[in-house]
Amino acid sequence: MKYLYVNGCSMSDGTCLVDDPTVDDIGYDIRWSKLLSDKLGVKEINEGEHGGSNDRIVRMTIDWCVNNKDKLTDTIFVVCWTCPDRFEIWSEYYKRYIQISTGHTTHDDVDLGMANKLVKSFIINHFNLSERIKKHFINNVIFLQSFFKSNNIKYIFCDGEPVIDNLVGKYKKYKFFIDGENWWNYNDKINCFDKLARELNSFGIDWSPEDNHGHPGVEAHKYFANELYKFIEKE
Amino acid sequence: MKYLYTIGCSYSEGHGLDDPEKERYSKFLAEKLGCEDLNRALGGASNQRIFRKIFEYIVDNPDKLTETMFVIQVTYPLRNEVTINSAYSNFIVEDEQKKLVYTGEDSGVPTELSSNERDYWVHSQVGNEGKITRWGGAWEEWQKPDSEGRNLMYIPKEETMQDVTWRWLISLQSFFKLNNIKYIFFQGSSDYGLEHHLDANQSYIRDDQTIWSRPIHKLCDTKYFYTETFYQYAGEDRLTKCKHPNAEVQVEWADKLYNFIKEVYGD
Repeated sequence: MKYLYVNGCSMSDGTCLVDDPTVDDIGYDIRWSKLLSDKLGVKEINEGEHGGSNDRIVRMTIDWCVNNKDKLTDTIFVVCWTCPDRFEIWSEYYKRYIQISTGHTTHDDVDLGMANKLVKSFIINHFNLSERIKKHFINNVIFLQSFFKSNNIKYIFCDGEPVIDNLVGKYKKYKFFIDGENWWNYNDKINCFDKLARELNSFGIDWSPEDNHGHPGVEAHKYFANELYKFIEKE
Repeated sequence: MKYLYTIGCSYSEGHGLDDPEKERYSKFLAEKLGCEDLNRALGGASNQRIFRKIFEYIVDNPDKLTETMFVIQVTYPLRNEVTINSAYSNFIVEDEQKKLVYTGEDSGVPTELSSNERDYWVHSQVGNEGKITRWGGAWEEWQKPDSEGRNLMYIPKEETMQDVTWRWLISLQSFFKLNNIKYIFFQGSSDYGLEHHLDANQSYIRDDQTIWSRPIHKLCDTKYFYTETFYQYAGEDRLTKCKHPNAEVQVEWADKLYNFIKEVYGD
């Protein structure tokens, strides 16, 4: 094994780990993917991005596989799913996908006028959380799981945000097709990174007690890396 | 094998045939295979719909999967589908809504399609320069990209949509292989088949712009992809009035797919 490929959202890219506005707030050297790759003795490849959707995760992971076919047998994939209500749509104006979270553009796109108009139009006219988004997401999970398994590629799934509880558990018919064996803490109470951080009381620089919201902190990243390492070793 | 699950667009629905359910290739192929004909094709459908409906069948029928042969006709990548919220559908002129439902019932849409399908999924033809299908004509004013360039159908450029199509094909193939489910793919028409949809001032698709030009296709095992295309096989003189393969071609196409299935899976 030579490579650790990680994709996810801000829970995976190390957002809000560093309090240094002169650089940015991403803790590249202390995020869980770097700690995990060090433990495994492999090269870290992290394509996670804050504000990213599950659509983006699947699209980019497959794109990486297309462009790195020769590396697939030497790579372990860790996919850290994000909020199920996130998705992406194409902007013909910007010629790229726009990420949408809780009905809005995310991060660097929040000031893009045309992106906001596009997203607002889509949310008002076409957003259907149940039909379009949630079932589509579970299809994506089954897709990636099947792709990895049918090609004998090593992978694990984990939750950045509560996916198992909020989605898989509610769509019983789909649950039949989900393989919990390759999913970190699939049947446990602490089954996502966000819950783990709360359990450890380890939060990033953006933590707001009033909103009860923020990203995992340094200790949480260390703990999560250890947990995933043990899970990978066991698998 | 007990079930033949066929899906695609108008090429598989049997558009233009006098009696589609009795004359389309899936009926003859099902007879040859000794299977029940489950044809879920819909004229104007996108690949997104095709894959969505297959997954719905999969989750609703886990006990039937090993007894089902999937024949999946891939359609033009530039087609898309979006849901329309009820609030938005109220914005549409009432007659248009009736027309949508009437058109669906009148042209061989399987009766088990839910009202939700008829009312809320809208299929677009060939991207933001094209037409809405099943609405019987060109874009209405509200469907066109507006003066600020917003494209209400949210359709990327051709190659991006080709990649979307390939991702779903790879998805299905991976799932089928993993679960020992029998399937084949074929295209209803090569990308050139778009000619009769395009306006005179639009350029045709070149060799280096077809779905096979996309690097992602290398992740797909093409052994299960019947590469001859239905529309091109028919030829210009064996089409229905609406330019779809006629009844004679349907019989021949069933033979071709039957032989391909035997070639891939044996007896």
